[in-house]
Amino acid sequence: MEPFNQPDLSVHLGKVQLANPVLTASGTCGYSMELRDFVDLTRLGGFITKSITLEPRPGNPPQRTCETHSGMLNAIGLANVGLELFCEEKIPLLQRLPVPVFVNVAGKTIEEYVAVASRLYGLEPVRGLELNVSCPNVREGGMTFGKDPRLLAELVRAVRKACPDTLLIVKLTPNVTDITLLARAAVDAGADVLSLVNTFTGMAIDIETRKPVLGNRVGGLSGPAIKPIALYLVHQVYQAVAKPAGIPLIGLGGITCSHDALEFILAGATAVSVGTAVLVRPSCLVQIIDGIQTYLIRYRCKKVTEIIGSLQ
Amino acid sequence: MGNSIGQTPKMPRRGEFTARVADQIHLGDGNNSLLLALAGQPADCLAQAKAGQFIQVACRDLNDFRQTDPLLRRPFSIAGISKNYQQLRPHSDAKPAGFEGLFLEIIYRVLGPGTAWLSRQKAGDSINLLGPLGNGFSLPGDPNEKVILIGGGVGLPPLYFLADQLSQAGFTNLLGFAGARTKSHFETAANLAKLPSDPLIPAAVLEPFARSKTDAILATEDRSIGFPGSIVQALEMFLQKRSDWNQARIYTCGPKGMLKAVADLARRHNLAGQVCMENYMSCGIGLCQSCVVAVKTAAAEPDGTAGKYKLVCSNGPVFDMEKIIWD
Repeated sequence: MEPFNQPDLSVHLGKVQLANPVLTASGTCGYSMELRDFVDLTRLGGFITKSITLEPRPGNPPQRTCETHSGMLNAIGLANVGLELFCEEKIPLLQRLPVPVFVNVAGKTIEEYVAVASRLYGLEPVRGLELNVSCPNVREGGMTFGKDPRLLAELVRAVRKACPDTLLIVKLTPNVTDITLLARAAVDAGADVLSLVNTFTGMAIDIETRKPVLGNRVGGLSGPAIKPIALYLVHQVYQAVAKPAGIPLIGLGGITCSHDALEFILAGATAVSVGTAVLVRPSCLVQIIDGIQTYLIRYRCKKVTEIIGSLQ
Repeated sequence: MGNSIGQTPKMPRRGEFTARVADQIHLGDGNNSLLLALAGQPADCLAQAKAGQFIQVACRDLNDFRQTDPLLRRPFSIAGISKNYQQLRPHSDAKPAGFEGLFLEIIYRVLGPGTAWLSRQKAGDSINLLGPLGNGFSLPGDPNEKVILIGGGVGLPPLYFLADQLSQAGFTNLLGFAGARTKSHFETAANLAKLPSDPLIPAAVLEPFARSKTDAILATEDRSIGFPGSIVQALEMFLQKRSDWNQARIYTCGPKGMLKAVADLARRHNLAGQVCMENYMSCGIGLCQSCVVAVKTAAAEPDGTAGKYKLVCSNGPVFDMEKIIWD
């Protein structure tokens, strides 16, 4: 066999090894079983669940999503089954996934984050927690934590203390003036991995009714429309925080194909998450993995890790 | 497509498939009928579809990554499925060459960039779809039961498919109620010459119902043909005149206002039935949680759906009529 026909796609997020750098993005991939008829989930690098909160949440009033030019606004409102039902019903299903599972955690208070994190801590098959401190669609959706470096540090320290050796991912919001301040605060407080970015706050107005299109009035913009900005923020955080601190990044924001994913990897992302594109075509996850492999073969790279942050 | 984890079913119940356009015809009032051809496993899979189920159609070339608009798929109810081209195209002389397997019909109105793209697709073009999605109508247990199918505008197609499936299951007491804004909606489908002078007398006037031995009553809001007014008023007056239909099972699909009126009528007449809901939808497969509809339920349901909201795409689109909270 040619030496370059089977490049090594595996990457590490802290101590967790992924077979490849492609993950699902929280909130767009349910609890995994929704996807199984449309994509071979065993191919994924890892699976990140929808946000889980302590209590079940019905979510925001409709209309909850709205298509925009090359994008989508959403204001789902962290609709989820709640911690108990998640543990009872979704965890057994996630146990059947032969890929690392990361659970996204959201809350109103530090106590709520800690309660959810502690319950999930050490539970099979949870290999790490992703703290959602960036939901723009509920007042108590963690955004307060995501915008204030001091509060963010306090939250990360509290979860770190409750779950000393779990892989702790902090998902950052782009809706701040200087994202590197938040990134640094999270890392200094004990985050193992940063994922960025969540959606950009936006809105759409129905000019006939003169009302906002979304029931929540505003929502988060995702999809190809945000990719260049998301990429820039990953680049910034990699250069200013992640590279010096040796912290891996999960890059996301509008990735739909392997070209997009490779841009994020070259900018410094160790792994990528795919969200909105999965809503359209779940099988794009596998296409992205295959496309990354093809690229590595073309450039005769033995490992994907060779190209992480290799932007000239 | 990928198999489920841990087990390998012989045939997936749904998936991502490529279909080819067999043909496309203009119906009246801005509506088009698109006939898709499927072969092999996709055909086997979609042949199992039930009336009320839908497909999610990509209205752009998904393999061209520079094309990102319209970003999201568009959901369409299945209007009919048959291996026999003539069943879905009774007025066409011959089957277009080169298409074998299964034919699937969707009927849509050109409203935005997605449906505009779809309307430009020609015979032989490829269409990427997910399906069949959602839960279809449940047929009554007794084939002697009387069944009323009442729809408005683009809500009619799943009822055409339901009439076909009921007819194939041996139901003979089927009656269609078809409402539209104006006469031109029925331009190609209705045999207007056969319309009885009394608009509340059912007749074999609407071809997609008539092919399933289902007589129909038409109504137009602009009073241009059939019963003058809403189709729900027509049903109300029909039930007053025809007590033999007072136990009928009701199936309905259409605009929300119409569905609410049908549900009100059904409640007043103590009739049971099902409603096929439409909603703004992004993914169609239960991922995005966009397409919620409020249903009467206590706390979290056994299936894990939180609170009072249900997903039209995966808990529906068909619901028992009395469960929906309309306001």
